[in-house]
Amino acid sequence: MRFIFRRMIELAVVMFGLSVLIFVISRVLPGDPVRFALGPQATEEQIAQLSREMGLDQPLVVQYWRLIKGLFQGDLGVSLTTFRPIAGDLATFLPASLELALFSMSLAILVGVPLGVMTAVHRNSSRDYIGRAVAFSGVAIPVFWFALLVQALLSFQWRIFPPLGRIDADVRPPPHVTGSFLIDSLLVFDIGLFFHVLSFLILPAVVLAASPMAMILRLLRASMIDEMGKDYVLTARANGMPRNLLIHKYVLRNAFSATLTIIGLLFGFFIGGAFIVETVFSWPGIGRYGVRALQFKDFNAIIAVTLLVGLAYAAANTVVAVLYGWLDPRLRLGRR
Amino acid sequence: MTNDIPARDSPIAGGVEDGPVSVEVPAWRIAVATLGKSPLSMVGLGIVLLILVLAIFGPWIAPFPDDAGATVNFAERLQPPSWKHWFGTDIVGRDVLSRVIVGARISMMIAAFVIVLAVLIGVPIGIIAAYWGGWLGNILMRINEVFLAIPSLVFVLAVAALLGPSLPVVIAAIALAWWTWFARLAYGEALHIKEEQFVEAAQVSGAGGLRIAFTEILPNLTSVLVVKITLDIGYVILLGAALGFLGLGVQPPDPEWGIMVAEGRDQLPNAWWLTTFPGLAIFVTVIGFNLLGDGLNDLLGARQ
Repeated sequence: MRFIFRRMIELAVVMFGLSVLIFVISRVLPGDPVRFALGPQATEEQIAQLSREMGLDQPLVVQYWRLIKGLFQGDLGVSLTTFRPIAGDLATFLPASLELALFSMSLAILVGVPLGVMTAVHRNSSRDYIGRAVAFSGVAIPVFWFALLVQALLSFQWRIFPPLGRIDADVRPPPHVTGSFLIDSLLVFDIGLFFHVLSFLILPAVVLAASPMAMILRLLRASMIDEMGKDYVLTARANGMPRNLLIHKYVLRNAFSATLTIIGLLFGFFIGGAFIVETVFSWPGIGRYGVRALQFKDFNAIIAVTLLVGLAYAAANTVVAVLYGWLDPRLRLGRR
Repeated sequence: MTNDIPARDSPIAGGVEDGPVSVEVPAWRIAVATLGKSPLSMVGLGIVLLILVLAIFGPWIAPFPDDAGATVNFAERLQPPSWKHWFGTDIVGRDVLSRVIVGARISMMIAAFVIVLAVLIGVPIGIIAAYWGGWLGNILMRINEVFLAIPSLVFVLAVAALLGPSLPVVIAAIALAWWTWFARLAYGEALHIKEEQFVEAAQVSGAGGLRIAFTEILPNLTSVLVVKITLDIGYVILLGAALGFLGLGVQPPDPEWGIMVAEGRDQLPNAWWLTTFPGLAIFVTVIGFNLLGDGLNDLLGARQ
């Protein structure tokens, strides 16, 4: 518990730092977002008035205080392009992003871990080479390019999967319970709807999973091989412990805790990838919202999205750290 | 990790200059021989050399160098790959192969500047934080954590969007996100090296802190840094291309690979060559740097 508590404090410190960083970048860097938002026809008075309404004429410290106060009250300000409250927008788009992210991450782990074990156990066999080729490609492939090719072939050319969006415009989404269309459609026992929703989810999820899957495979393979060379493995085998039991119960567990440290960093690539994948597949999530905000220089929305993403990333890393402590009890004591 | 490489550079183990006792095979010859044994690393090296040649001499190699800019040739628009246009032509009739070749320079330029900046900022910070430790080290590493608290792509996108996208902004934005990785690496390594005997020896002999940090610790980081730099060039190229694709990086009509993929998007799946070849260029380049980086890793690791 104390371990978890300490991690939470660290999380708070980092989030505070991040909010200052983003704030400084958004306010101190040149460029006038208000002028940009109002367009070239805006008069000086209009610009001055909107700046005043948004409190941009106040000293920086006051502006920062307002931002933080707003954050704790769930008020993220107003979008400069749609003039709607950003908090509401984010709440609308978040479930779609979470659904895509969780589905895709499970995919990456469910494929990456067995492949990592397989390539390590059958080292230097043809299976190993194929697995590693996949891993190399997965890390090096540009996500946006992969997404476009998959979309062009499987959706536009062969029409196997729908190309864009989360659900057909004329299909009613399931009643909102969890926000995940997959789970919600199952909750009302609508199997047809479930597969309809799944067909939209598959392509973006697979594309998004490619790179994390490849990284998991590579890391796990390396740490499995490392682990299998250790004395305890030799001893166990010499004592006649069945190979499968040894590998799956002992080697994998130890190798996995080494991999887990880096899985935290993986979330970073994952979130970045989600911005691109959501844009290509018109997935109505935070990533697409964020890219639009960026393209239109909607800096209120940019700050909000960046903080939300930072929070998600930091929270994911905190969960990983806690898990890591659970897998490796030595870490719960002593230094971090 | 790198416990023993010090021997070569440290004053106590050195003594190479003192007498003609040892006949040393130059390190680079050992390197070439070892690297030559791994076919994949050689493939990586080949790709990297090819990209470097294209980046330097691209405009002289490209069959239609003028097509790299904003030229228009409607008579030849959207032609599929042929002997005249190996990679086809785009929507205004420009030769895609020429644009891909000239585009190598933009990607390599982004990568080179970013890495140089990131190393120059990150490595000293990491070493200083590790060597002095205490409150200074604590503050430096906390700042580092804040920068790490946000995914690179999102951070870079935000900075590029707020500043207005252009080549210098892209470089600055990525470097601002990237120094943290080098700081972290240098910090971790320097913490170990700091405990080595030759550092203690230097301390006892009265060398100052700065001197120890940069003449004793820094040289022993080079092999780790070389591997990291090689791998990271690939990842920076990926990131730069992603920015271009989203319209927040280098701007048209520059033949940046990410922009070219985006421009070809509306023509999919019919004019497939527009998106396929620039994307392939990114893919192959990143694989090249990855293979070479892995090869160097084995090579420099094997020296231990």
